[in-house]
Amino acid sequence: MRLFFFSFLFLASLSSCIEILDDITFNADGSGELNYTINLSSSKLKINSILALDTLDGKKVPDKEEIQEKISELLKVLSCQDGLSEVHLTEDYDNYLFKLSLKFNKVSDLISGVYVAIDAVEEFSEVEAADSSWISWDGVRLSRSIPDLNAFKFRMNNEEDKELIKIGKYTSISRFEYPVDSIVNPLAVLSKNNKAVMLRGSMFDVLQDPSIMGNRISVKPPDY
Amino acid sequence: MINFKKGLLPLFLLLFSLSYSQESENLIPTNASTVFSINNINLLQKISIDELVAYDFMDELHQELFDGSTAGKTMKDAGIDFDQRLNIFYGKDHTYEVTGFSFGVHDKVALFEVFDDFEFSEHLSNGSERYNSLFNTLILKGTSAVLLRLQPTDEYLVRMTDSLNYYEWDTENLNEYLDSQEEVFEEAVFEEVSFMSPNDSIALPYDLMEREEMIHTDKKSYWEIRDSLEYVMQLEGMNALIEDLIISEKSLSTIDDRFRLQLDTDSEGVFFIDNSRNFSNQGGLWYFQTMYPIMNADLKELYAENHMIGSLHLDSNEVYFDLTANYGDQLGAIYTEMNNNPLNKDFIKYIPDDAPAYFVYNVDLRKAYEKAYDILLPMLKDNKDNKMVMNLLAIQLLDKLVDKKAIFGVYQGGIFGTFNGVQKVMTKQIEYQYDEDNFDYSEIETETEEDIPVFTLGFASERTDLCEMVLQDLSRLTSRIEKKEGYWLVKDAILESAPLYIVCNPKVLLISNDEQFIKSHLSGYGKFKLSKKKIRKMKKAGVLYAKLDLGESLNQFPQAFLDSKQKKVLNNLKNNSGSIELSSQDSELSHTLYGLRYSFESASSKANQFLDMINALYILSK
Repeated sequence: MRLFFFSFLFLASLSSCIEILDDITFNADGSGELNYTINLSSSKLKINSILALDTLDGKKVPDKEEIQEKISELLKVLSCQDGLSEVHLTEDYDNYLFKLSLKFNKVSDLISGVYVAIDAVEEFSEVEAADSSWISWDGVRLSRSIPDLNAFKFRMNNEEDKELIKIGKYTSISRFEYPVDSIVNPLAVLSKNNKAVMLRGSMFDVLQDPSIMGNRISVKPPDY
Repeated sequence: MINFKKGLLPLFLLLFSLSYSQESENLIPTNASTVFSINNINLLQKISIDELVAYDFMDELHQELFDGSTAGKTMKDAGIDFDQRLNIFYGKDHTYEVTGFSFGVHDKVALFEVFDDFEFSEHLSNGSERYNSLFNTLILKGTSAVLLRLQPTDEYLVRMTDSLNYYEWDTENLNEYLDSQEEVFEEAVFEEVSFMSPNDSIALPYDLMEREEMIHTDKKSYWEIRDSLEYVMQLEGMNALIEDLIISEKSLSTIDDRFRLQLDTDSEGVFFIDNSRNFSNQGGLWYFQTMYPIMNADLKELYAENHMIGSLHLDSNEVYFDLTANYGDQLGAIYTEMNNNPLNKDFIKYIPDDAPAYFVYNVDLRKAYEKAYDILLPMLKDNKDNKMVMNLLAIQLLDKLVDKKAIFGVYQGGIFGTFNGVQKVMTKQIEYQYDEDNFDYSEIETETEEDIPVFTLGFASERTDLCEMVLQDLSRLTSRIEKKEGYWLVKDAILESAPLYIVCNPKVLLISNDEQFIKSHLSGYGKFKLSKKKIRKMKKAGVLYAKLDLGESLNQFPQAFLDSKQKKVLNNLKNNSGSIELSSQDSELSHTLYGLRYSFESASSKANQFLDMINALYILSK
């Protein structure tokens, strides 16, 4: 997930109004499916105006082709990781909407696969792969938070950007095969079918305090 | 005899004091190519040091000044002599970049309470005192001081060390590679050292063997070598600068009559840019300089006399800046042909009276071309280089064979632009709808309003029919281009979201994204066009006239379209209201006069406005 996240770091960093949607299905056997969406459609005018520049604040602004190339390179590495399968990415450059989906055998495969891929790309090697504990799942109990969003924080120095970041949203959905038994985070909402938990926060609040997206959920398998 | 002595002594003392008095303007290095000299620094007495160092012209120097020692201190508290000028200077050649400011000192103790990071270093041979801090050097000479920062240019450092960098980054096993390339490496290092230290007066921080050993054990050695080289070059350069400026007393005012004369003008401040030495402003010429070095060398004499001088005047709510762009006769002959044209009447009707910002640039490229051809060809013909001869032959053949009237009829050179504020445009965005049963979601497309700056640009042209023809053909290829009543519509042309309109009127080609203009003013603004008073002002101006309403335009101006320098200027002026008016007079053979009038209605002090303007000029000229 971090890989996907950092792949779009540049694009997303141009945009202050960002919506992130992480949707993970956790199967009882420990496997699962990740759908991770970054929606920058409400900032496309701003992104287009920046992509039209050669440099921004002294740094080179890559063109769309360079960004596409980098993304496909990362995707290739990710696809080769053990325990990950059906890795797909949908890129919509008209709306700046990016969707990554993949299946994992174990949560640890997801985490390690992403980090191996990050290490394989030199530019990202300085990105600290420290949040390996952001998710754990034993088939009954889930403990999760969200990936590190520190990279976005620099946008918050600017008052104008700060206001736009407040409009941005982070949505985290956890889906299960069995009904949910307990939820620790009081801000989380349970679906009517009792099998999905949603947690939403403003991008600004999440950046200020990522722990608000943390949650511990346990499910009740039929034989328990 | 006694009376004679009595009469002579005061005269002698006066002469003595005059001959040894040092004014701050004499402490500007000879390689400074941009100088701001503020005469009326009484104005700045109440400016706090913290405010002053926040300006960009202090940026290079302020790291050490901007600490606890400056808190709550004003310029007056800093022991600065307000009877002397404050001179801010900048210069860059191929090897060094020098920045600094010189000023008068009336209280040395107070000065060092503010400049408390400086430590005494030495007494120079003429009695001046040298103080050093981590990055800067301060010299006290008599009652004046100069703060200097000197750095080797990045381009130069890269050029001197790029071979090492290449070896380091492109070789998997650096140690093995260096072993096999020992000679190459040593040669490279020796070359750098001998260049940076021709007199060998400074000991290197460590010897070459140590450097090499370090490189064998540390992969980051390139940067360490580079840092050392930079450090040694800084020391060498600073010593040479001090020798020249302080010991030999060679300063810009002693070697450049033009600068000295400008210092004598009656104004609050003076401004001096020597374009012939201002390398940082020649970035745009790099291709020409690289690809046609011979032609560039031949044409250099054209630019040899290029320099700009200016004066700043301050009234109760206005800063007026007059600038003279000086050049030689030959360039002057080209400029007079190019610039001295009447105002293009076809432009005026497309500028609304309430436009927050607009400009008109009246040049005639055909006249400029004819004159340049007459002047440059004989100059270049002196050169018998093969490539040059072939280039000249090509130029002459083109001149004879090409229909110049047709070419310059398409684009005559005149241009105007208006910034018409911001308009709302509808853009699409994606939102998500969630099913409460299972939190499955679907994407929905919604419309949202976004502000977009609106402009109109007009180009003088006698062949707008050609543009019409091109658009006609292109519209057959793409549905994004559509013919409408009186104009062409290009869909999603602006940032792939907003439309662009092209109007091929006779004499003027108009490009705009202003829907209001297209719907209601396609043949001009009529009674809403510029007032007669404003048109008169524009007519009186020469080649260039620009007007900017600070309050209405700066806050709306699209920063994404500006480079970092322009952005800085814009942000610095953003909190002010008032207007900026830029105009020129007709070009003469030796110079063109420009005037910039900044009228402000701001709560901040005159001094702040004055510094804001100096800062803007500094950023743009650097």
